Amino acid sequence: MAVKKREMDPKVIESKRRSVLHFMSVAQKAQQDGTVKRIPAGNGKPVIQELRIKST
Amino acid sequence: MRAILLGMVVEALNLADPPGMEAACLILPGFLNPLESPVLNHMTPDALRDWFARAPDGPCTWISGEVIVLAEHLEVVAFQFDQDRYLMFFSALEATLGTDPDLAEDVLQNWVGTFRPAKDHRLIKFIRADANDPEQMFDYHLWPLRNPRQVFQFGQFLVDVAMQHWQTMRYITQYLYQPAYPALTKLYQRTLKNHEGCRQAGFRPILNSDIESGGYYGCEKT
Repeated sequence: MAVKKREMDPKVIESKRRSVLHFMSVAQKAQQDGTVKRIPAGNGKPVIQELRIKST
Repeated sequence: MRAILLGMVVEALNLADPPGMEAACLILPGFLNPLESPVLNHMTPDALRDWFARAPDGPCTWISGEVIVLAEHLEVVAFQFDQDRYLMFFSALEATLGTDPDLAEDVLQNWVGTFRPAKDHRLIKFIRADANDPEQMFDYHLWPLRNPRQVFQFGQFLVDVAMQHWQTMRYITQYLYQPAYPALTKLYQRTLKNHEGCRQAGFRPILNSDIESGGYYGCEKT
């Protein structure tokens, strides 16, 4: 993969912040309006794993 | 919906300052200005209780067995790592620009140089579910893993979450993300390169994307 950005970018942070805040507003409204749809993923069961102390 | 689209355009344009926001509104007349619409700084406890209803209390990794569709081309997956809970948002850009090829060209040029996202793609962003301060929600110093030695498992796990999304929406051929810190870039690179599930699903890291602006990375179906 190309790597061009090596330092923290305040504009990237701000962009992320704006969009996530907006997503939250959309989510809130969808919850209130009852328009949220829930699609089962895979077999519909949560995926649970143990934590590993040290990863490979 | 229009607010979502404008949010995506603003993000794509990477416009953080007010003049940029004005420009985005000018080129998309009629779209809602998120600065004027009610913006919440956190998810309500009710929503989180609902989305994490089946999450375990103890330390483990957990991915909700569902994709929550919030709006067209905007989904969220709830997950837990150790005892910390997170939300991973998946959003598309192409619907924002689909009706205006010239505008799309301008935005994408600004966004990632000459790189073009696939038709069916998602941008990925995740946050701690309990983040409630916009100024702090992306400051990684404030959201450390409980055990730093689990960082590689965490990286792998993030891709697991994205793959859970793909299990539900298999028409998606490209996932893009934008690491804000060098350490995360390295982590994601290593993770994507070595993630077995990602490889088995036919995804590979995006190479030669000529990313000059915005710093997006990702993986795509081969």
